[in-house]
Amino acid sequence: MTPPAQAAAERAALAPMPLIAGHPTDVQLNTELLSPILAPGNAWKVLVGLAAMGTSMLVVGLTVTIARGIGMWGNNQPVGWAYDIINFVWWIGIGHAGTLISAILLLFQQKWRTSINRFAEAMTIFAVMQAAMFPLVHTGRPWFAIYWLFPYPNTMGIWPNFKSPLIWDVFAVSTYFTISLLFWYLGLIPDLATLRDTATKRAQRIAYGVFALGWKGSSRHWQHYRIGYLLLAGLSTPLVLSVHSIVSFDFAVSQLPGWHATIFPPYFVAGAVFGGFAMVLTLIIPARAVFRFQGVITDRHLENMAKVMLVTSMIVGYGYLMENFMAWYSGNPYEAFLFFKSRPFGPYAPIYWTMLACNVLVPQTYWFRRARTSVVWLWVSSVLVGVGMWAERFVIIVTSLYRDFLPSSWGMYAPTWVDWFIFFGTISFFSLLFLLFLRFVPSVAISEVKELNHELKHEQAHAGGHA
Amino acid sequence: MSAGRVILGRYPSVDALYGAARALQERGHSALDFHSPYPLPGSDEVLRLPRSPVPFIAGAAGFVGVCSAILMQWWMNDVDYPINVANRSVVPTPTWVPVTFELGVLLAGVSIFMGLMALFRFPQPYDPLFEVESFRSATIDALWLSVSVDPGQVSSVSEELRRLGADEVELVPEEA
Repeated sequence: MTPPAQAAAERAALAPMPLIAGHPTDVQLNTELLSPILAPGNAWKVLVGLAAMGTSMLVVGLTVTIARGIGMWGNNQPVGWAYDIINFVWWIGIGHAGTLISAILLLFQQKWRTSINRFAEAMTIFAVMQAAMFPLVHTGRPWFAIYWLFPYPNTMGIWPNFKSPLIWDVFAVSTYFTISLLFWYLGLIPDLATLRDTATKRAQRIAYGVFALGWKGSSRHWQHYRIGYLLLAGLSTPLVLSVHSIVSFDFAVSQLPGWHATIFPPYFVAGAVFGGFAMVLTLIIPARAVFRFQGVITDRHLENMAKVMLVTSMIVGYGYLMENFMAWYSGNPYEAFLFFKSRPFGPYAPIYWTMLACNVLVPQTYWFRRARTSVVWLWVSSVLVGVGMWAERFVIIVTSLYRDFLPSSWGMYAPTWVDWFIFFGTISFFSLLFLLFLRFVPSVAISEVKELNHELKHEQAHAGGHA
Repeated sequence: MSAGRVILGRYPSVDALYGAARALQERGHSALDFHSPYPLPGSDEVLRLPRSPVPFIAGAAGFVGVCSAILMQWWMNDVDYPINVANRSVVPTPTWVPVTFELGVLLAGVSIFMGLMALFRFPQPYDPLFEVESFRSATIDALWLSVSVDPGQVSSVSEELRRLGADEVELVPEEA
């Protein structure tokens, strides 16, 4: 090989994988990205059937809880908070990657977000819906929750106490849900119009025409639209950081060893991003295989997500380390007991070690390019991280509560079948919503991919002109 | 644009589209618009659009959100039903920060969406433009120019659009 040819080959080997494979035209992109909606397959029906069956577990679990009371759950003294808050924190954490991908990566002009932001935003909305169910149901009588949660006075004229992080949570989660939903829908409008104009069936044209609200790609509209979209992204960025910080305050403001730590807000936010990216990978890998989206969701997207997970995993690992360091450095015997005895060697030790293995060890494989580009390993490891993040919330909540200051008040916790039904039910309900989303809504942001495609072609033409 | 008739022209490239728009502007047509599947860089300057009011709307709504959150927390916890826990100070406390921030973001975000809907005059599921079957390509792959003209100018402007490089020219039917 001649030296220039060798140099060119080396450069090609080092160049990142493309963001959009091949050189598709707008019409090709359109057909490819709308095929799940306009030409669906049968696999989808089977999956929806399974998810709907699983969702019936949620219906049973919630019916039993509401009819017979939250005594049907395993929570009791001293573990008064268990699956309800574990699952709440887990789900709300998963919801964070959506806003991170759509808003923060948009502000940083990371072009690779374009193909995956719609998935991630949908995931956010559906995950927050699951999360919101838990605090609502844990009130026992959710139909009264309006004046327990929102500032609406009860018959005694009492308002909520704004010095409590629990009321902050209500504001944070409801704001987060509303803004995420608006951001998602605003991004969808041009794509719904594309769908309206591509569809050939009259019913589809009318339905998507209604939801597209009358979008006609006008430049006068695009001008306001782009600014509005960017501003919503700018607002979502501090919002996403605030939501999990506030969730962590639910714990951090208490006096309990294992909860009373100033590292909680950043550690919770990093954990949320970490777990959320894992969930995006878990969902996107099968979806891109089934719908043949490999052209726009390339291996480079998966690799970038693995890199983000590696970074956030190390922040989470640092959080674990600092908690242990502070337990030792503070000289507090209760903290030392929790971190050096009760968690690593107590009856819940297997869950603690699962947490460490899944959240700290598994992502270390992402240092190797082979691991980052192996689709099978990425999927397996992302599921393991999901398990690890659930275990983390179990460790934080249950192992801090079950043995506190007085040995006389110690006690064990075990979930009941109702707890499991509700937990697996929310996973199924989430899957059901996600499957419906894949089938009826453009799951990749078509107008943004087309714009990126033109930008990339323009860049290439420019680079080619100079070569 | 309701007084005149709308003519649509489809152009093969952004340069041809902008060239046609500039030529029409020189002839005194200002009611122009482009229709494209994705935002076109530089279209604001070509169409001479004024600055968007969206940032102002969002800022004003965010400010209202912040003020109302402070007032709400103060009135509910210090005036209407004072909650005195351990004699902590009543007037602005750090514990007000989260709710104030969230309400500011909520109002700003909702106003951006509502403001856009108002600026676009959405929802508007019907527009005479949608009667033109080939205009469907505006959200798929084509670049269209729309111009609103007096009924008397229809044929001359159509001819002009074609001369400026349009692949296809369509007259939008009058509103029913």
